[in-house]
Amino acid sequence: MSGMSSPTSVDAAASDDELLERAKAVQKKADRHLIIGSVLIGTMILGLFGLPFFIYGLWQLHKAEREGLPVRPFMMTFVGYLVLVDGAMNTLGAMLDVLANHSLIVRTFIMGTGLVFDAGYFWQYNTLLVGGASAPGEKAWEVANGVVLFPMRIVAAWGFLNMKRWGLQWMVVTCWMGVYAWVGYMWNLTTYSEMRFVDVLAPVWGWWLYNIWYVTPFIVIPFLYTINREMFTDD
Amino acid sequence: MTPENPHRGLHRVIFVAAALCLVIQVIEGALFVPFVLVYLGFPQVGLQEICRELYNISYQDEDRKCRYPYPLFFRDFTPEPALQVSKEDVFGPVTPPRPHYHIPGWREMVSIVERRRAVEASQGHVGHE
Repeated sequence: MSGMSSPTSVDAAASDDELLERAKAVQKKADRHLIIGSVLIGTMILGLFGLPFFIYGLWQLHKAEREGLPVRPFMMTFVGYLVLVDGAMNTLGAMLDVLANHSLIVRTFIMGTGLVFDAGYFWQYNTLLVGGASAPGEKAWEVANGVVLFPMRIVAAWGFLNMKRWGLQWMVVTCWMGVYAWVGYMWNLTTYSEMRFVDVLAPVWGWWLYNIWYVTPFIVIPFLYTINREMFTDD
Repeated sequence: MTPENPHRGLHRVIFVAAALCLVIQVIEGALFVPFVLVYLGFPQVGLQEICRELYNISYQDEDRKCRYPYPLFFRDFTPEPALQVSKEDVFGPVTPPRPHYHIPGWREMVSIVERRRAVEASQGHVGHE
């Protein structure tokens, strides 16, 4: 990095080191806030407490970038943490139904949600041997996404935030895998729509109103193709 | 400083759209659990009571209880409704019934088709789609 600036005097080198030190400190502080924010947002219920940390962390990086400090670019940081949080929230949602389907709060909340917009989570809840949603095909998607895709997405986002080349590559892979999962999930959902979207409070429009905001991994795909790949390390 | 990315405009649009989605996700994620619980009468009625009533609606069974705490290592590994009287007459089978297919043996299809041809030749019977 210091090789990019032309003056070679001792003074300039010292100030370059100083600059790098400052950038490192800002980066660390910003990442700490972003991680705290991401963890809180990842719990969903505590999300509102996480958002200020998240925004503050991003703002610190934005400010540092404006000052010309060599920190991880703002947009790259935002997308990395966004995908991380998306993976975390989706893993939580899927795995609560697979693993925690007999806890009181999950039973009550998920069956309640089922009555609001998707009876797949109400019809015969906890009937099958695994428990949780009994809607045809639903468990398969929960396991495939919650055990494979979403954890992979979290790891990819972490590699991306550490600016590893594999992180960028796996961000692309797991974001496209998300498209695959949505198409498959949606066709399964629609195939059994007579059971899932009948006799509930807010059938199809309610489902879309709740879920459309989870398209973020698709929105960032064009970004992943148009960033400067040279910024990522090869290892 | 890294050089200016030529796709800055695109990145700006992506940022605004994704940030909007994230903020809405956070708000709905945080408020949806309390909304559903309050909608269903919490805290005036307890979680277990709500859970029971939901089960009763779902299984159309007035006597069904929401067992809590549910034992971690349950001695009977059959699914829950196996403990209850079946309501299949109300909402249809939970899992598809066993089909009891007759699977043709090795080259048995030849004799099956030959029998079919003989029947159709003698009766002029045409099947349906």
